[in-house]
Amino acid sequence: MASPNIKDLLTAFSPRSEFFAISSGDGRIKIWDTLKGHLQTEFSNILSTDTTAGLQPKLNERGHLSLDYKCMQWVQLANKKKRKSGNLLLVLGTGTGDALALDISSGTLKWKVTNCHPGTGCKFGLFLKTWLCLHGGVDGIVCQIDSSSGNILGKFKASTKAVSSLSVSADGRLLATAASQLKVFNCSDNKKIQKFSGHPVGVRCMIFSEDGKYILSSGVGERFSAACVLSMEHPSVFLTSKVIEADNKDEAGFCVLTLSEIGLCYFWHGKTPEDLKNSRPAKISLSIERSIPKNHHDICSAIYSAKLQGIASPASVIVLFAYGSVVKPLFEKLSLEAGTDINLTTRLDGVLLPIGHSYSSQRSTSLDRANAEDATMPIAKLYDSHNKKRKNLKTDPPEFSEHAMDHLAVDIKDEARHKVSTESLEDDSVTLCLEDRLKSAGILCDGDVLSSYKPKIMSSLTPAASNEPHILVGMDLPAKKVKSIILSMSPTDALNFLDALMIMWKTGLSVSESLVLPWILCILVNHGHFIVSRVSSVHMLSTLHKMSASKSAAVRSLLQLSGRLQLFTTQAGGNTNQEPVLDTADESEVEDDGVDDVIYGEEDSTRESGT
Amino acid sequence: MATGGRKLVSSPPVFSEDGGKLLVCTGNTVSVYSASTGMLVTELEGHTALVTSVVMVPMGHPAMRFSSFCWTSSLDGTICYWDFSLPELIRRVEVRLPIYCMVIPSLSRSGDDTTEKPSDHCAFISVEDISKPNNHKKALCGQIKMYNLSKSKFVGGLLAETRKPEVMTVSKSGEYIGIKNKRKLHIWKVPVKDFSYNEIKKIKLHHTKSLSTLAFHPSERLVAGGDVTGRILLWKGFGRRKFSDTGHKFSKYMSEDDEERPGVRGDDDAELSSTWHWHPAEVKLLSFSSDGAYLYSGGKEGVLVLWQIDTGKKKFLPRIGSPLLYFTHSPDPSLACISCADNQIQIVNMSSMKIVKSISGIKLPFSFPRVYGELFSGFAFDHAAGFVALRTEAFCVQLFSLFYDAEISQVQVCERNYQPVDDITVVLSLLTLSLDGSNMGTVEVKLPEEGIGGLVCLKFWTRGSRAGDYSLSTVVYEPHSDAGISALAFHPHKSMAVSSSFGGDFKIWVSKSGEQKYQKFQKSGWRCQSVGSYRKRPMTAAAFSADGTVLAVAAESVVTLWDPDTNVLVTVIGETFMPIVNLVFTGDSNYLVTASRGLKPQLAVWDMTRLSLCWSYKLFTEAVACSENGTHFAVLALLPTSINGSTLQDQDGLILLFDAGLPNPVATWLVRKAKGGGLAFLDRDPTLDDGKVTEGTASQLLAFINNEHEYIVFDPFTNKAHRIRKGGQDSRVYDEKAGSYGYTAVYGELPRFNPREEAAPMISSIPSDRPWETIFTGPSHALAPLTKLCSTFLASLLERRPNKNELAALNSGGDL
Repeated sequence: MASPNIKDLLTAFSPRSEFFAISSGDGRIKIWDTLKGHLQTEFSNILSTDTTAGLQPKLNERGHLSLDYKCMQWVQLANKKKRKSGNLLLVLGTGTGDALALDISSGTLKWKVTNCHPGTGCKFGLFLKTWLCLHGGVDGIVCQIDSSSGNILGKFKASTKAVSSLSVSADGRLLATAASQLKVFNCSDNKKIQKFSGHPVGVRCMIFSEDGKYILSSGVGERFSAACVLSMEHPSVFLTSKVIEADNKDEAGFCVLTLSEIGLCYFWHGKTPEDLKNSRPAKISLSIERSIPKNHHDICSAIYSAKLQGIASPASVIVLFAYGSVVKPLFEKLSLEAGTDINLTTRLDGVLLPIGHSYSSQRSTSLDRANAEDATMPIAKLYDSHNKKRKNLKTDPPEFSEHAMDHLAVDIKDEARHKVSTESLEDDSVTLCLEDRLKSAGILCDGDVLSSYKPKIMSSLTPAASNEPHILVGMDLPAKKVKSIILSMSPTDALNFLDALMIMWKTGLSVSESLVLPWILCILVNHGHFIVSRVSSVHMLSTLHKMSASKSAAVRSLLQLSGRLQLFTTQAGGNTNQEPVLDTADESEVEDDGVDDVIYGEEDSTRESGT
Repeated sequence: MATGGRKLVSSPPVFSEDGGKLLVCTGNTVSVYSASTGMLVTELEGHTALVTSVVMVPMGHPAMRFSSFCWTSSLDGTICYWDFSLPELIRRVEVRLPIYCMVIPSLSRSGDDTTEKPSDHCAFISVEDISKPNNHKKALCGQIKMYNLSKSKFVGGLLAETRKPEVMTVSKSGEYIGIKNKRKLHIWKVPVKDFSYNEIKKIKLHHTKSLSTLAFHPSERLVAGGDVTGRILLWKGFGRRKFSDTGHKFSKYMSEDDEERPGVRGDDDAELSSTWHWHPAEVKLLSFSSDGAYLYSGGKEGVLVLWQIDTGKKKFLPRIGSPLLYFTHSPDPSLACISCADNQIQIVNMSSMKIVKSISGIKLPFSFPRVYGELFSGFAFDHAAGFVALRTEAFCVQLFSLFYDAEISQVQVCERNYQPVDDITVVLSLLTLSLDGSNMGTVEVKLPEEGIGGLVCLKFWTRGSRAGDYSLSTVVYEPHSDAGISALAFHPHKSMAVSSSFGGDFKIWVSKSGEQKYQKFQKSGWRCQSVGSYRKRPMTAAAFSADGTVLAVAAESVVTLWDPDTNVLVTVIGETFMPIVNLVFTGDSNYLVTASRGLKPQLAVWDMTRLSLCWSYKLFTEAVACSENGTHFAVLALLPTSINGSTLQDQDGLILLFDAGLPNPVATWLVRKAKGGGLAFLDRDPTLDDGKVTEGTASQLLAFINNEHEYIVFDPFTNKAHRIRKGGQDSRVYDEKAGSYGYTAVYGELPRFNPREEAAPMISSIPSDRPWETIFTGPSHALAPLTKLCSTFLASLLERRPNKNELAALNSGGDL
């Protein structure tokens, strides 16, 4: 397998990383759109395009291998409009000592400076964001070029040897050049500030840290490499593993990203440069898997470029990678964490491949109408502190349990109206049986029968009635009517009505408890959701709970009494005459208990999930 | 802050004189694109309303060769003169009438020496007469006038009055100007030299159908008109009687006056009229080639037809994919561009008839039938990458980067070939992206034909390695039997989704991949994990909480909360007045926001710790967005029509930013075209910032996209005190205003008397201009303290009618 060598590739991400420029040494420059992953523009044969001659710049022509580019850099002109791509230049330095700038958006040559380093090739350039651009030539001369117009602003001799690398600090005050020695200059007066030595060979790559305090550099051909991390006062040299080409950047936490000649990428993280040096073996965090079929020698893939985009958290960064094949790079944004290796996988779609190796796309599944056969059905779980009482309801679906509660409520109301003492809800099957028995005995009759004795005033029952709750309640309406009235109320009205009923019940004024309670029950059953959802009603519900609890405390003994009485009467009467049961005095208490249970269900669920 | 999503096809684009640049009217600005790369080069900013036309000043003598000048007209009533190579505004002429179209005949004359006095041009402008009341339809609001650009005054009187402002067409020689007016063409002859108003002559040409477009032949006296039925009419030798009175040139025709004139109607002043018919629908564009040998035509069917004028033979450029709107020549005869209705400009090489480059913007809204009454606004957001996904007419989903204002990709979601003239049979009714953008869910509805054959289809898509690269994973036919799907939501972390249906149940879907149990299926995909229902009520909305442990499904007016893994109904909270249509958990706080519409719209916030209503407003919410972390959420609310009078211009919406626990909005913005808009919090893209990323909630940006698909992305937290700069690029329909005055009005500390309090009723969401009727309604705990209410109440009594000056001050203040 051909070992990929990205030494000769020139790559650069644009400042906003929307474009990626790559030049593979054949004189063509391709601009890729990193968002879409498409080829945006291809520049070839640039020197033949004269912007003034033709109506159309001749792009995309298969040009001759016209130029050999030595360095490449994006320049964003006029930063005031951030969103414009219009001011984006790609500045290139050629082996013959020329510098040229391409306007990316219009696809034309913006300017060209010929022979800024006569006779020799300029090796590396680095440019400030603003107006200044600098070239370091093989002859050791650094040349300042105005990047908007291409005028040479000045030249100075930086070293006697060829300048192999050059970097400008972020604030533009400092310039570092590297031949075999590393020199730091003041940009304004071109005075040398400091000199470092440490690399035995030429420096290939060098970068200022963002705060301008450190310079990271890596030498040519060194198996170990980069990161000559120097503080400005105390030059010190240390080494990291086999990285030769480096693309470095750092932040407060000091993250370093390096890219090796064979297309591997490394990421260091440390609190301080010293920390970085010491923790080096542990911090290597990214390795790259090349998932290209082994039998294709012509396709080599590697990571070509990486750009630190931001710091996600102190120990992790967001990096945009360009990787894959030179023919069609892929772009991916990844979050790197210190200490975690990541494998990138490349897909070969979009690359012309021999037949039989096309990427097999995954097939989609399709489901038909019977898509939910093995699906779980819902489990209704109403949280209830009175689990014993409601055991039978617990596993029912909610609609069923609601229905059952409805049923229950109706039963209770009927019984209450006829002053029939029943057993409490602890075993509601008994309740039903008793009701049936009562009905069969003719004691319990339907509410409608009863309502025939009552004056028919339903038509006049409007929401206005809620102003006069004691009148409405005092009418002793059948359960169905009660329910229909309650349902016709809006939730807010019902809440107000409930409030009034509570007061009536508490004070015991004007109406008896047996009349008030069916109404409260009905409201709670039908408008329970709304009432529970109101903050103001919590207090009221707790009052209701307390009152009913205090009344139900007496129920047990009364029930015993009632049972005894029943026993006595049956023994005394001997026959199925149940009339005397009706005369017991505890009907309201019993029916309180019944109401109580329903209310427990409602409010307990509130309290349960509220906690 | 970023704006974008501008319409590229609001008016015809213009090529620069060297053919290298294309000037496109994009809202308030003119965007200059490179014709060779299709990329934006620069923008001309200066107009305050929609730019309607660009007129290029031809290159004069060689000295002027490198500078490029143009005139632009705008609805703000100004005409500007630009040097677009720099770009620089040179002159501004105030007309004070909204200009819908402008032509300058003296500039169209190519090859002429126009350098004598470049400012002495007379522009023909099509304006709207704003003095006339537009309440009755028959009013003639459109006027065509002449305006001397050097003296800045109108010349002569009215040339024509039409129902609405018409688009003018000028011949290449600058000799003729024409408009269509219902079934007539009006053509004026303008004197080439020594312009004077009295020498303008006019003819009319009649047709039996309404005309839709016209074009002049570059050299001959030939005009082509297209009508709404798809016919193209050619009038040869028009106006030879009236226009040629000076004589000598056309005198030979005078003798033929009595001969029959085939095809010419009545007394029309033309020699010959012929008709071509190929287009099945309205002809939208007509243009003669620059050498005059061919005529281009196009229309809704998306095919460019090339007619050979002498023979009537046709050549086609099919599959452009969208209705065509304009055709523009460049000075380079081999290059032209076509504006398409889907917001694309195709640059065509005319010699090979191939599309070389295309400039594409955000897809425009289109109308389609709603089957099940879904209330989906049509936007889904990829919060991490800053993409918006929207459906296109061509059965695709377009992914559009809001930060870069560029299309990322298009995903074909329905297996249909799109033909613009076909009837719509499939509708993409729902579209959802998961939080990280790795999954996409779409619901398409095949429309029933005569009540039979309706089909709902749910599709899950997974993303490939690249952003916007989605491939189909699972298709579910009839996921809820016959019922339509009301909502689709993804789990924030897992491969889990929920779909709720109007049929009364919801289904939780999980991706099979990674589960050993389902390896026997041998393919990864989604399957139904569980089904739930609540009292057989229609399920109208669904959402996962931010940590994914709670699933909320709205069953009409109540919200059921479920454990999504075990499918256990946890609790039920409710209830609202109307069915809930939108359901959002606020980030990591314990609040749930519900929105319902209908007669009693309501925006309610529920406290999940107490399972009770926290506060609610009577607001018609269009969209709700929550920040992923933090307690803030933003609401796009529609202003009630009763207060949306002329005082607010055409702003119909309000963005309110709330901290979930508090009913007082943190910030308020007034927006336009809010109905059908969308709202989302986006993660900040670190590369686009100045590096000043602050911690916490401030790292999120708010994106608002209006119903014309124009959008703005801004930081809702930092600019609170300041006015948000109105985006220079946004167009007339979209106007971002900072409304910090809005919220102080009701709930802030008692303000001093201030005309701006006029905004009070809308903030307090009372849909009436008599707030005293409704201000005290609602649950007592939702009301503000009495002291504050009283101030509002009194203030509303005081300033129901702010006087004109104050209003003007208010409006102009907002427009800054």
